[in-house]
Amino acid sequence: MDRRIRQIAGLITILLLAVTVSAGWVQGVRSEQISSFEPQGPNGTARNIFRIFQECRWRRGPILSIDGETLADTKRVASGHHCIYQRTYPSGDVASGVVGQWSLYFGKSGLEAAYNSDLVGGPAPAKSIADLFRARPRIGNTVVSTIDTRLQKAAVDALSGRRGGVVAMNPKTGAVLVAASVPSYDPNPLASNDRSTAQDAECKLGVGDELDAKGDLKKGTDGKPIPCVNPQNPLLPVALDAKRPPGSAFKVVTAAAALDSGKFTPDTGTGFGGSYLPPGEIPQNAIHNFGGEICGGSLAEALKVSCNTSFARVAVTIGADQLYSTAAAMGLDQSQGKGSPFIGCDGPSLSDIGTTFGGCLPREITRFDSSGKKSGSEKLMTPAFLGRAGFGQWVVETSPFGMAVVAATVANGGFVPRPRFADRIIDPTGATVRDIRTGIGASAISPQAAGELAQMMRGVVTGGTAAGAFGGFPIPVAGKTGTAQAPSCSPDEVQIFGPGCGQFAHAWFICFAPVQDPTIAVAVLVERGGLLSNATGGQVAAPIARKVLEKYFELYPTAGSAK
Amino acid sequence: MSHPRFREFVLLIGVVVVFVIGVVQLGHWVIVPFFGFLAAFTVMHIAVRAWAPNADPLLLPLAGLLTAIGMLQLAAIDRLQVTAAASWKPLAPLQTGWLAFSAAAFLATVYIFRTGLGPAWRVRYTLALIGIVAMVAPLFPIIGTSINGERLWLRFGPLSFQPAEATKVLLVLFLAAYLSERRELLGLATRRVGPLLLPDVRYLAPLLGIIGLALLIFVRQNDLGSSLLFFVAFMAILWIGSGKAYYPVMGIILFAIGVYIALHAFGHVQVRFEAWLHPYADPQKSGYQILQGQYAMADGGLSGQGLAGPDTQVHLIPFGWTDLILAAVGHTLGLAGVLGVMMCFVVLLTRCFFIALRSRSDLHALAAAGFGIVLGVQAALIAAGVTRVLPLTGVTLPFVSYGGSSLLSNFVILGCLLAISHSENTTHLELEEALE
Repeated sequence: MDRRIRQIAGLITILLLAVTVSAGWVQGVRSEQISSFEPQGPNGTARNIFRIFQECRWRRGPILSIDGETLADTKRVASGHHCIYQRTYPSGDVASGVVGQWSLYFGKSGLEAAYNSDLVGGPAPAKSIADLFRARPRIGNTVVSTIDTRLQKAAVDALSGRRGGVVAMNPKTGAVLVAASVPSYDPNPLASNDRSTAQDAECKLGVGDELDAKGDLKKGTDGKPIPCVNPQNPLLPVALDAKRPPGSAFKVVTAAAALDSGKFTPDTGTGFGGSYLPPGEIPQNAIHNFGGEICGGSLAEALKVSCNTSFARVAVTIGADQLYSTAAAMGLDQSQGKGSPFIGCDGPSLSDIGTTFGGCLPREITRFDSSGKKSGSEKLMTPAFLGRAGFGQWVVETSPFGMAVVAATVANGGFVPRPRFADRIIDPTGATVRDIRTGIGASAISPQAAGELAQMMRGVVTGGTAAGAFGGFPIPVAGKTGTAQAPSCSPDEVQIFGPGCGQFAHAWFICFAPVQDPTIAVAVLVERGGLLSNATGGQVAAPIARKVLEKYFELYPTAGSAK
Repeated sequence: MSHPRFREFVLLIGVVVVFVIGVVQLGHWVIVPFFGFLAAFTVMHIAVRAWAPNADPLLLPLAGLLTAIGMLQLAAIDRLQVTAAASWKPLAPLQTGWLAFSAAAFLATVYIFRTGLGPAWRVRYTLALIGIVAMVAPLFPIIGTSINGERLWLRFGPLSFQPAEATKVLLVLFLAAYLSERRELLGLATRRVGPLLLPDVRYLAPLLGIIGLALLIFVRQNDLGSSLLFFVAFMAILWIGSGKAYYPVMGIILFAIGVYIALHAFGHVQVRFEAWLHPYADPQKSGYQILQGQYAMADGGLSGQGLAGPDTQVHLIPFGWTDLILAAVGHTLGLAGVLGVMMCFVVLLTRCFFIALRSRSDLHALAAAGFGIVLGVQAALIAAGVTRVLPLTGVTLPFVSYGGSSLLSNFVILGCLLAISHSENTTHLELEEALE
């Protein structure tokens, strides 16, 4: 019996020692890594609630724009509160979709989250030996964002209050100069250390539940909490998080796939007519041009006049696999999550290497019944679907950010840029801690195909659907318009645009300039920007892109001179 | 050699000094608990001097140190929580009240068993019956209540009590008595079934019956932690008592089957398993406790944020006063504090098993080992859960966590251990005198 008592004692002791080893790992070896690891998952963000109450006692580093404006800063608050500092956003709502916010109560988002460890910084230097053994306050480094507030403001002005988004990036370096959205929001009240101020602001943005004056949950007549509602959802910036059909702007992707497949050159014919019946489809599934228009011709001609039937034929000819692989290579990934066919098609990651660009091109739709169980799935590979996908309709969805990457890829000789929102990290003395360089991404289409496509897009601006908007523009621009139908409106859209919102189309324009040696690629979306007609993208979205380009070449005159 | 009671006194002075350091930091939040603690341990020390003078000198100071660390955590939580939540009732003074009850129960235990566990042996079946009735009681309406979705509480007016804690003590006493009486039979009376030697059904049935019933009820009451504790602890006691490899082997097989069934049949078991393996997958719900526990410990670092430091946020730990109190210790006192608590448990267990090994009576040996196993397995289960060595199961950390029933039963165990130690040491001393 004695032997067995010793054995059991040994076993329990081993378990207790394993606990001490694990505690040593958590508290000693890896404590800093565990403290600052706050990953974002599909079910929410892991927030270190201990850390955030410490962070408000440390001087967090500012976020600057590339043109030197202060986007985020830290101010001392009156003594007596637990926190010593509070975050302020001097530029208000100008770049809030990119900068995000640091909030005592709702955590971090945007650049504040992506570069948190840089902004928190390292421990202050020890002044005494005793300091070495205690937790010291930290002094944060400065993040210099790639956002140019002058351009950003020009883009917001050009949208002139219409719901939409503008993204501009350098196709070679991936630096995002503009990510402007309407509506936007002022992050200052969200970042308040005063709980009720922060909660009020959060509720106005449509997040959380309504609270009464005392800060307790308000109960509705059914005894349940009343969720805060804001149909505009300003916390989801249109530029980065919109999920809208790109319409004809997507023809750039279809054309890229066609040229890259080797089956098409710019001169290859795409048929001519007012309708197209994909092979094997019943007549009801025939594809018609808008307003019975008759168009077609070579691939270049079809792009210039934005002929739907031609691109439906191109998509069916090259096949789904080719179209999907080119679209996916350009960042329009078709990842799918649970519950809804489009969950999982997330907005971009703002950290160094944005690998998900935000776009959706599902191969199949999974249907769910009311209880959330899978009730069936529908393959979207039929020629009728594929034909419509060829001109960006049906289930294709993306954001201005996703389309800016498409334009930048063509501008960059077929190499997909790796977008980044930060340029460098500098320490409080101004010395550079590290430069953020993401390098050149993978090749989506061959340089030859990219060059041909660039010339075709140049044709759209010189003599096609965007010719009106760019008349007299001194620098050669290549682009593509899009006018996307979305006849069914979401409940939020009905609230924003009214019950007839289905008659209005999403206006798109994507472009890059100068054509010979592009230094900027732009994508514009104006949601429900105009009545359905072939010209809407060119009339509504293209002028916004023009204003951004004018401002860009005014600010960076050398960027416009072709080498 | 100095007298054991003198050594106990010196060690208790050391514990009081530790408490005073905490009082200096926490001020008025811990004044009442401090004097309550001082009074309770003075009375207990005097009682041991009177009724169990030859008992082991380490047990009472070790329990004292763990209780003191626990009360300091509660006061540190109170200090922050009173301003954060208006409805918060300070726990440290409540725990002081429970300590008073526990000290009284300790006194009674030491007095009743001062000449050994004979009185318990005589009423062993009654003890088992009371233990089982106590466990079933929360399932009945009126007196039973559920707290946090686990129906394992008895409510008498404003007081709620977790009877499983009492059952823990009673069943160890019963098993020790039962096994000391029949362990020869359990070991020898075997029946050959194929290649296996199985003990005779007559001697095995009551044991398996009790364990099966205990587990069934705990699954019904949704209390995974206690269920696991009972299963592991009683299998270990059974094995020590019988010496048949059959018990641990069957135990492991039954355990594996049980885990398999539990994973598939009970959603909450699966959720806990998931939260253990992938806490970041659902950080706001199922992974919340474990993750915040980890963050709290990581932020404590080596030396901790202090009991009342500027960055101390110990009140934010979910269930930081009960299940996750080890995370609270890690946050306030750092790795040093966690290692201290773990060392206390290792030494406490060593003393329990030492008492068991020295015991001439099987009843005492089995009871001392059994109590050591129950304390050790419980401490290891919750400590391993908090540090992600094992899935998190909700049991209290003995002596440290807030909770009346838990504190009470642990001090009854302590009383039993001191009484056993005293009666065995007395026999040894008498034998030595006779030999001289």
